[in-house]
Amino acid sequence: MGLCQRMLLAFGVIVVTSALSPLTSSAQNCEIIKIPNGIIKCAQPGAKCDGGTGRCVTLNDNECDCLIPGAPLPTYTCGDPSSGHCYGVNAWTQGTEYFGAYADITQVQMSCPSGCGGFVDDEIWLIDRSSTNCTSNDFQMCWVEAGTFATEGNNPQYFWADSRPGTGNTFNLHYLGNTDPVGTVDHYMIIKDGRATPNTYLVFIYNDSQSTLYSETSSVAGTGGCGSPLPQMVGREIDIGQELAGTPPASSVASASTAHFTRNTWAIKPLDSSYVFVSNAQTAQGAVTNAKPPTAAWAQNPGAPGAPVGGDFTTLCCR
Amino acid sequence: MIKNIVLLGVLALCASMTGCDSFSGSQQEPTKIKPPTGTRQRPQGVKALELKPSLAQFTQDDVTQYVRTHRLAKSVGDLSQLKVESMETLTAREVKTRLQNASTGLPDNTRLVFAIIRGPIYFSGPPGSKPVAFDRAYAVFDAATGNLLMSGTLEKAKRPTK
Repeated sequence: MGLCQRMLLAFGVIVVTSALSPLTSSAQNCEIIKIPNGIIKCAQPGAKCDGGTGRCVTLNDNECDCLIPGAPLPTYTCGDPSSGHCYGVNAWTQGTEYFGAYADITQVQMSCPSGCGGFVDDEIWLIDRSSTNCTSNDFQMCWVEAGTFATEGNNPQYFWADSRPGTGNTFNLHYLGNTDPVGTVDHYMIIKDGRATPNTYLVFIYNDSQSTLYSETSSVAGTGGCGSPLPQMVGREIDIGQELAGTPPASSVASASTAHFTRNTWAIKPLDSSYVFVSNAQTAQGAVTNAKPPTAAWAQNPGAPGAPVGGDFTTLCCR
Repeated sequence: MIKNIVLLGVLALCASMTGCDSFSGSQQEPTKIKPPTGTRQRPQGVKALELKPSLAQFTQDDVTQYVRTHRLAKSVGDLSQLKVESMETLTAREVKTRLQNASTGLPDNTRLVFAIIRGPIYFSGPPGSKPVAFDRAYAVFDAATGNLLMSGTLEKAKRPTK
């Protein structure tokens, strides 16, 4: 069944679903309503839940929860040497190359207080898990990533990082600067630069007025000495969403308000002398990872009627 | 209810008959976005080390204290065992050479402090990746402000991760 066929079928399912009695939440006994554009609300805001100790509250377009007054925030285990971080992401893969990735991400309130033991972020990744030069590096994969993060005790900052082909200082993370005010829509672009030999990846983070403009370059390492540069990674996966790290006490959990990822597109060719990011919009949902925390979901599916280009993917932390 | 079921059936029949290739991503008109061409900002980094007025710059002890109390981004594991193996003042150009062509994003003559950190220290990557242990990592500080500008991996641990 093709993509369009699945969309038509899904539209029909949603119409049927909305005509039925509201779905029952699997947690805390709050009934939810899911309406055709994907928005979720509590069927009865303020209704008692969780044995009468809590009240149902619509938190955002994706979540209805049972909040118990005075109850501590849940903790999480998102990072130790054996288990890694927690993610709320959407992943697209394809056999042919993604020459770049782009998303608009709203800047949100984001914090990782003292004692949080890690960070919370919103970002995009362009990933190569299959090229020989990448599967043989220290992480067994290459990637370029860009976004904003709140590290322990610090204000949110823009950052970018790469894991390069080869085993010479594979991973490099760059701390750029403080973010724009909450509510700003920032643009994140990763693009293979076909004008450079060997190819580099350019990373742009900017706002509409370009009062924020970071323009950075991910370059391959040489083999050392007089060795030739290694072949550059070939992006075949794009991830968008949130990464959460740390295992804090309840008093120090990280937090991030609902962020929207829109204009999710991928480059169909490298940057050339025309200096244009030529792209197609994502038209399918991809594979969603929703570790809870963080919480991630499509508010508006790519290609749905009235949805932004590439859909509207949301992240939220940390419940 | 019956109307909705009928509608569903009609939609499914329509989907199976039309093919709907006109909605596939392969036939969409590509969009064009111009990368920004304004004046790029210089990376500022994150506030890290306090400059002491009486000294030319911060000390190796300062850096040790910092990395034992502030987790380098994207790293996991016990901070208390980290040691600063060496610390040098280099130009941005020299740091780029040390890091095998990894750009600092700064003018070549910018003074930086390049610290090598002895681990083990673990770094993780995108979803689906597992933490990888490294015997040595690095941190780059702005010599003028003490801000942390870069961090990353150097030598992978030879023993397996715990």
